[in-house]
Amino acid sequence: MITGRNLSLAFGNTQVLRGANIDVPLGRLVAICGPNGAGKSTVLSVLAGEQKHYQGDVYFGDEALADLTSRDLSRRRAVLEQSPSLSANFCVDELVRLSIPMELPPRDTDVMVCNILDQLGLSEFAKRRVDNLSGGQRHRAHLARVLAQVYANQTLFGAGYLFLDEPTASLDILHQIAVMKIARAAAQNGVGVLVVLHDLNLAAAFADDVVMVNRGETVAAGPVGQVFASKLLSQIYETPINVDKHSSGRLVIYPELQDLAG
Amino acid sequence: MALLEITQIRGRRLPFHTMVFVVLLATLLIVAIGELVLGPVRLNLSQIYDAIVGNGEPMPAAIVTQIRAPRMVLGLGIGMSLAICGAVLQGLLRNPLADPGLIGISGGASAAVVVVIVLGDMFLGEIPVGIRPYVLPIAAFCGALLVTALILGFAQKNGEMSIGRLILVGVAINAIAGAGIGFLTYISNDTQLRDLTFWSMGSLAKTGWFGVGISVTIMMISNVVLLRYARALDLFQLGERAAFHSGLAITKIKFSACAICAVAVGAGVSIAGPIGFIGLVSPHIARMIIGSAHHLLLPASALLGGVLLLCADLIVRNVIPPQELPIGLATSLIGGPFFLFLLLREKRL
Repeated sequence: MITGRNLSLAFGNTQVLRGANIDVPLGRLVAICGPNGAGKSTVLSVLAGEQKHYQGDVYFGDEALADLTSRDLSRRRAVLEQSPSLSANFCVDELVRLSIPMELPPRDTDVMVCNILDQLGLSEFAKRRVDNLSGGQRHRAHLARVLAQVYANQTLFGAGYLFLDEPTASLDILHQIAVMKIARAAAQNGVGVLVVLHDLNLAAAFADDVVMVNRGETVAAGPVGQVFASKLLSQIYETPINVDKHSSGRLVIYPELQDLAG
Repeated sequence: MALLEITQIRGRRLPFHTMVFVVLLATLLIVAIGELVLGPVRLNLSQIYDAIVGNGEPMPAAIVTQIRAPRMVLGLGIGMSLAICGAVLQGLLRNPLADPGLIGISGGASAAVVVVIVLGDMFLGEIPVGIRPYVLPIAAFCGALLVTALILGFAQKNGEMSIGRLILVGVAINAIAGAGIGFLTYISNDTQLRDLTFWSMGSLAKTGWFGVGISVTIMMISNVVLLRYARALDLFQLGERAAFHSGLAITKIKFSACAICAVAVGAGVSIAGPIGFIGLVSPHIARMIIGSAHHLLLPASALLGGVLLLCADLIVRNVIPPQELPIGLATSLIGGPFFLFLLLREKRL
């Protein structure tokens, strides 16, 4: 499990995190939600090891984040940025192989790449240049790359964490659901998945746990059903928000728009 | 996609890559032999063979072993080194315009040499005659290293090295070096001007085995070390954050790769002056042939750089023999239009 305790971070005079707490257990999908500027992506970047000057404690199992090199970290977690980029004209197959640790035997690498391309519906594009793909396909290709890294970590080192920073931000609803299903499947395969999400309904549908962040603090954390309550969400987002139960049993979250009624 | 299919695709691609390397090596060999055969005095292959095994007539043997062979070895070393450094810098900076000249290494080396040529008499009077031939190469090498240290120092802020700052510092250093060279050229006399031409446009002419041996050894060791950066350079193409997420120690790699490039280029410039375009064009052509994966791109660029530089040298030596044009003229004159042609063909750039 990854644990983050009392995480604080300032950029210049701006205090971005003020004692945030978070747990990411293996085999669960944890969503970080909150308003714009709440510090969601910053929490993820601290756990990912990108921030050097944070205060607080982060542990990967019983290892302190501060003691891990970039190489150690890459063997424990994989991160998909909000807007992944690629400067070279690699084909999809080459891109997916990029972040797989060298320790994985070539034959296993081939099998893993093959399976992941299949899982993400990218097999037919395997030899196509990434820059010739549509936006959605390109995003999936980068997701395939981090999945390959995380599954390779799981195979080689026994555990893997996957961090996704707003992975659905630029996608249509079909692709949003596809991405979240992949994240869900990873969690079911034993990967600890941390996702920064704006869409509360996606979080309600796919996450096991939710960490609500506001003004750099964790204001609530726990299973979706406990955290997503109308009163709390209305307070955090400073607008009336309803939480209903759909006939499927899933929570449906929607803002009250009384001033638009009629 | 079936696993079998992936393996088959790999199977098909491998011979293509192998074929590219065989063709490049064969071309390099032909051009290298051409460098020994062609020149103001035309030699045949048996004369060259005799000279190499030590049985030749004195004159052809001297031409081969004392003039053309060191020149060929130097050309190979510098061509390969400039090209591989160009490919590394382009990969590291994620900038297709990067080459060793861009970050000021060549400019620093040239400036140091120009200072010694024009102002050397003021402080080099006491230097023993035996050491004098090595003063300029040593100055160039020191200039390259000094400028690289300055650039790497300036490019760092809060312990992080910013690529944007690196390029801007390179531009500034180039501008300062250019102004210094311009001023010193203005106050130089006729003899100094001839030397300055050599050092501003490059040449493989002033070579002897001693200098070539040292310079090429440094360049080849640097090249081999740079080949080990292939995977890191692949990951850099994802951007520095994603490269870090994939396990790279970003600052360390940027710093060490730039420093190795500086040593390699400094070793080349110190003996042949600045030679443009090879470091820029070779990686581009190689990328078009063999793709962007650096474990193939770096060696292919190196071979191509060797071929291009030896071709350029063959041209400058044989256009108006026994006169010799500066090699920088040929690399720019051939490389420039060829580069434009490639750019027009490649829609992506």
